[in-house]
Amino acid sequence: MTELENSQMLEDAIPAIETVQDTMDQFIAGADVDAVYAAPIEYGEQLIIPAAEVLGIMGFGVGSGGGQEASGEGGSGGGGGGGGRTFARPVAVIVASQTQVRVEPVVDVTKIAMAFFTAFAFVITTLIRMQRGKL
Amino acid sequence: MVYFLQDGNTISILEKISHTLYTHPRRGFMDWFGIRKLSSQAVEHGPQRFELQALALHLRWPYGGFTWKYPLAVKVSDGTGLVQVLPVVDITRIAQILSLAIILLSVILMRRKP
Repeated sequence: MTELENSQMLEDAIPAIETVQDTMDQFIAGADVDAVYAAPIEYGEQLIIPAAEVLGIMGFGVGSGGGQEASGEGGSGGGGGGGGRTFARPVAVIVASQTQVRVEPVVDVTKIAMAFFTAFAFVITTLIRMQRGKL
Repeated sequence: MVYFLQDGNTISILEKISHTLYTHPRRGFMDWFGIRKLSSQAVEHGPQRFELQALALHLRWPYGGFTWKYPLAVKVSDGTGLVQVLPVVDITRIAQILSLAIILLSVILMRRKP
């Protein structure tokens, strides 16, 4: 492949990169709250709106390379790939009746217990180390 | 592998792609990092109208990005004109921060010399 062909190949790839950029812009800097608040659910006379924390990360990469053998034959190639991950965690549920509105928190007992057990274990370990004179 | 610029110079393909990524026409400083308060359109339920508010943080770099969205509050207005803002309290997160604070506090107290 000649260098002119290489540069043509690159020129063809740039619109695709810009499309990826635009898509990522829309995903990352999107200005809607739909990801955080789900669509309202009517349950009898009540209206229920779940709310969640949403965290997303994404990225992509491109690369290319080429080489030439001793015989004079050569080749080159390029490629790209990307990926992402979205995490969501329920935070609260908004419950509205005809007369009142309340925000009910969603409590993740497992996470809270894990956090406090970690803190407790850390404090106990530090106390033991202090008594042994290591700190 | 090189890319031929219009002025006759050459740059590597990766340099050209980086150049494309950094000089995107709509890109300004605030496109790379931003914190915004978002509000939904009004949701009506009987005489009440809700406006759902959220916080959005985004961090963008040439080959990727990160976004975090968090529910903040619900603005409720009833038919009489009374407006009430109900904060969304995240008990799980408060408990996690509290446990982290316990760890930090214990470290500070234990490292203090008598």
